[in-house]
Amino acid sequence: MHKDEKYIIDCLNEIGNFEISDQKARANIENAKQAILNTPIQSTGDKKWSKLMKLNLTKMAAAAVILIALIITFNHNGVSPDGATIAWADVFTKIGNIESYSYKEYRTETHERLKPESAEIKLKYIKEKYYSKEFGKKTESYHDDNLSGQSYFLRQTNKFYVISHLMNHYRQEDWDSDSMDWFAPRYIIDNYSKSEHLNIGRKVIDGNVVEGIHLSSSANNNSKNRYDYYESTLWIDVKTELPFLVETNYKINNGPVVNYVMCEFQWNPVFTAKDFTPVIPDNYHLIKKSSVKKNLAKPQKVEPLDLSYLDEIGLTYLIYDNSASEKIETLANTDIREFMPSNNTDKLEELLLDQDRIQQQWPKYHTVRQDILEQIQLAIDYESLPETELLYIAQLLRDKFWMVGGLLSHESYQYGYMARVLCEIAYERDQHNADIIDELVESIQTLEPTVYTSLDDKGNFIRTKNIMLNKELLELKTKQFNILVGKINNETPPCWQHFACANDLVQLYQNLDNYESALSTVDWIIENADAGGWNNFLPDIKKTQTQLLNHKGFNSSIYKSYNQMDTEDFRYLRTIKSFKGPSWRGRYPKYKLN
Amino acid sequence: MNLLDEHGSSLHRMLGRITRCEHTAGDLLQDLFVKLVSTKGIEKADNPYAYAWRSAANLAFDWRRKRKIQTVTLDNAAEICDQSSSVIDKIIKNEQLEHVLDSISGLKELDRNVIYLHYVEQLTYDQIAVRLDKKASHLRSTCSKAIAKLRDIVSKINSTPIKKEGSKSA
Repeated sequence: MHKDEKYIIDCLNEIGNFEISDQKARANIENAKQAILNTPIQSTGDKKWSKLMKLNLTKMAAAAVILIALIITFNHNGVSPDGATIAWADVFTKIGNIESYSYKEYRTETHERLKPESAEIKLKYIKEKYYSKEFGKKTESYHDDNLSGQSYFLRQTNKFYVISHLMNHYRQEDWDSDSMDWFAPRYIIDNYSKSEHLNIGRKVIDGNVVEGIHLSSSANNNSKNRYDYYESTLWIDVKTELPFLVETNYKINNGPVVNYVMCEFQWNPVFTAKDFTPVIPDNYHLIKKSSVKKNLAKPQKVEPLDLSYLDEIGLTYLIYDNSASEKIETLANTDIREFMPSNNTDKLEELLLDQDRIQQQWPKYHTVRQDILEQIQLAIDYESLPETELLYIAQLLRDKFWMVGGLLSHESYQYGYMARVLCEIAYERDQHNADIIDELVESIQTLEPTVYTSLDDKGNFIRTKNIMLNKELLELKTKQFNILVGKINNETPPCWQHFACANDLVQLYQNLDNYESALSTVDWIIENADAGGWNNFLPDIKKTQTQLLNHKGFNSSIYKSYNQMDTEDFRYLRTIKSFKGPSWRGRYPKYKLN
Repeated sequence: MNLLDEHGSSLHRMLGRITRCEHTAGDLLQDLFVKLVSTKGIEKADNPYAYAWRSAANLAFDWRRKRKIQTVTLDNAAEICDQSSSVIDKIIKNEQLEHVLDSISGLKELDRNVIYLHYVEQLTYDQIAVRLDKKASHLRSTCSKAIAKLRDIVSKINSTPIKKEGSKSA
């Protein structure tokens, strides 16, 4: 045996001789028992835990009410009975010494109806977050009490993992752990310390005496006025001088109302390397780093395709982005306000030409669809969302597309493509739903005109039909029409939806020079005018019939926009008549039905 | 709680042997059980004791890796030299054991657990196989390789010039 080996084995044997007195051992075991009794049972995604907490709350309730009453009675303007308030310096010192923490995050977003007929969307997220100065940061997301995803930012390996348990896949990338500072515990209180805040005094929560600090929108100076309103209360545990509960409500630029609660903080829990070691089941597949960013966007004008906002702040800024109009001006290298379609058609044509030039530089949808889908998969658990929510998100994404420049932007297509993917997913699930087909058609048209503008040899503007798109739309609209007509019976007469769909069909047939089918569809419209109640449109329809018989264009409109004469509206032209455009365009039927 | 009643002593003893400090062993035992009741892992474990044992070993070796080395000041060194030779021998022996334990803590989890169970707890490979849910033959070869790794580490430490460095107090 090697002499070093013998030395080691001797040492190991010697280590085995180390004994602790029975008395001390018993005392240590007793202490451990007490520690267990004082520890809330906080198992991952465990429903039992919440039940236990409720029981605990019930028991605490009576005592808490009495304590609250006593404290409020003696507590004036946030000063505790002994006149003391928590000193920020102490809180900062305490939190500065924190090496690890964990907390639970409950987030609810309530999206207002964009249209009266839209469903109200409420999105709920539950997350558990773990931070260790030594190991990194871990987030566990739950859906219906089941672990749906995990993310790891690992300090020691400089790796970043995202694991989706719904999709059975994961992503692994390099990550600069120097940015770890961003997760430091002090950021939980940073905003409060930098802003004017109001000490709202003490109360008892779950048997713990806490002191509150309140921020409101007028006092929140760090928000750069992005908030319609913002109010947040940080409750500090008086005993530990560390955060106990954070409750925040806000609304950004008319986006959803967000309620955000951080609670069940554990300070300096013991973590081991194992706690921050991603466990990836063998059957999970690795998603390659998306090439979307580097392949699809132009360096000068790229807005990074970062879907994390969907997860982190909901869909808020999809809807409202004040930079949109500036970007349109920049991207078009001109001021669109000069171009009144009525008096400057050449300029309008020039802009349409620019739009088409830019649009043709976008990557083709089918070549990047998979990349886009992977981006969506990483951001939202779309499989768990019902079709209505997929369509709603798609609508928001289309609005975002228009806000960042629409067809005049080199980067906007990313949002439009995402909207189309979501609509296609909804359509794959239910191909006999006329509403889904409407949204899919809307998404497809958002990205591509039915007619292209170009220049001939002499420099004149010419129009060329986009045959492929017209065929694609015709196929979908025909299917929709058959679905709708199939539902007509004595009790369910034809309605506006039938009329709108038939009008689209006429236009598409005409675009494809199929006048025979266009005329037979017009016949159907006329035959069903009484039953459907669109007699008011008959003069226009009959005029169209005559034009089609002469193989001439169809040019009647059945919709109107709120801002039809606005220069803005040119962005939504060269589409079929039922095309809605962004929600603020306010597209609505031109005439009331009989 | 049953686990603590049944195996608390054994886990505590192991924590003591690795940390060589009864106070730290007590702290880590608390940490261990707080962690066990706070997470779901043990509920899923086929052998809860084996799970708890591995968690405890990880905690103890992690503690050993993380703790800061306390260098003996020149004043302290002089004081030590003034002690009787038997005390100095004891300090040197303690120093050696600390070095070996520190070296073990740098090994992979399986390596260090096998070494500990075989040489410190004196378990047979069949007994270790049950504890670690591995094959005995695999553990035998693992242990042999781990000892070789440990030998390399220890010999490097021993071959470095002697510094004015004292014991690493727990």
